[in-house]
Amino acid sequence: MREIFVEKGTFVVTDEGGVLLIAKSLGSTLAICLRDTSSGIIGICVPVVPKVSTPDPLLTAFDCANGLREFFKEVMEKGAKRQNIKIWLVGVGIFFEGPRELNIGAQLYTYVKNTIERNGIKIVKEHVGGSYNRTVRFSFTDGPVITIPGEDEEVVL
Amino acid sequence: MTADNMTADTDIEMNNNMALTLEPDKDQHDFTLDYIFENLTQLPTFPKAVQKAMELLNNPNTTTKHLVDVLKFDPAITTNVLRLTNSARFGLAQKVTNLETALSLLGRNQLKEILMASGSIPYISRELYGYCMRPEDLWHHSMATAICADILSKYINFEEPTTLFTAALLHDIGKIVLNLYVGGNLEKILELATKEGYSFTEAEWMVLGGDHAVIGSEIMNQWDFPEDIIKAIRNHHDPDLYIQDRLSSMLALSNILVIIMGIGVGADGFRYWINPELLDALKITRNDIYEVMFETYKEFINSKDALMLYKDNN
Repeated sequence: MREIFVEKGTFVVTDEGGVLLIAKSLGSTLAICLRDTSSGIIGICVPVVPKVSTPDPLLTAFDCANGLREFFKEVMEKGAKRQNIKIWLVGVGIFFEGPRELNIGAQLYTYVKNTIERNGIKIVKEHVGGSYNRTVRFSFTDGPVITIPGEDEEVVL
Repeated sequence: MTADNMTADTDIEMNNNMALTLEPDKDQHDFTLDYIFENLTQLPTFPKAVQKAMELLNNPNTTTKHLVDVLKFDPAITTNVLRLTNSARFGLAQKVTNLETALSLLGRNQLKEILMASGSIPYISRELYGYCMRPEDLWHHSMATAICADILSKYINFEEPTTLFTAALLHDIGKIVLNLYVGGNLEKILELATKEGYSFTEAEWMVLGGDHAVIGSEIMNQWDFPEDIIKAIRNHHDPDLYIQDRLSSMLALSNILVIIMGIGVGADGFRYWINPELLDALKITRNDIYEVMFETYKEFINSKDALMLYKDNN
């Protein structure tokens, strides 16, 4: 299986078979894992903050608004149909306590969830929050597989 | 367990490339912070050539020749200085192949940052089993925190950016020692933090009577670093302490932002408390935070050459 690493602030969308998408060490960022079984498309988008003043073409998805727009544009261009899209949300590590301004994961999560639901797209499952870091692997055949440092067992959504 | 057989088991030495042989002893069970402090004297010292060069850089009369004379006999430092100088992070227009040219082209603050990074690599590019961190994780985390600190300094016009850079680069040095000396206790710490809901700092205090920030500050003390850097490293996980001065607050915030971005995050992860007043104390807004993170991440991924240096120092 060919591995493709999805860096933070970017997204990958593919209709190539036998691909494993991996988003490592998510921190408070949010991995939006997407699949459309009818068109054979999978993708992961990893936004980092809700917004920035001037988006960078190499980090299209660093800010949530721009990232989601570009991600779904590519998904639809590859032939996905809104009603067939399924989404899993993974990530958003949070500190025990702190100012709301630094709970950036929660800000991302709220923004992404509202946007997706407003567009009538189904969120299948989530693995978000908690005071730990995650890595997620995602292929066409399985739900996202999550690993956490210090934990022996993987979580399969 | 005596201090003598601990020394024999632990095998600390420096070879010509300054690589350190620091293997944790997993059979140790009776360590306390006192024991660790007693044995800190067995750690290798921070490179004297770097410390001497840093002193020279504080003297306005220092010439390039003075600096070359101090550094040229340390091949590992010279190699690291040249590689960092040629990395995109420091952005010189021409490729530099000798120490004299490098030192003459760099500004004093850039030079201080490069020297500190060059001297620090052997210590902060190690696998930390107890924290579930690979060799690159601590190096990447430390570099990203230093980059973030630098960007934050510009945002709030901090007057001592190089001091903050140094503190940021070495803020987790205590983890190296914990990993080295604590043996089986690291598992207890991990269990308290991951299974019983304590913060990592609380877990370290419960098991050791101190945390990696306290140990890190003691190392910095033994290495004769300035008092303000020692204090900032001591404070960086203590919400009540770091809020009391700007250097500590900025170090704490830089570290927090890098953890949020998931750069070099280990098993301790997000298991820390943040002072709710931190942003107010620094007069920094939510939008500033987004921009600082964006600038940090861009500069971090542009520093690939520097980030790969951990490979040659292992």
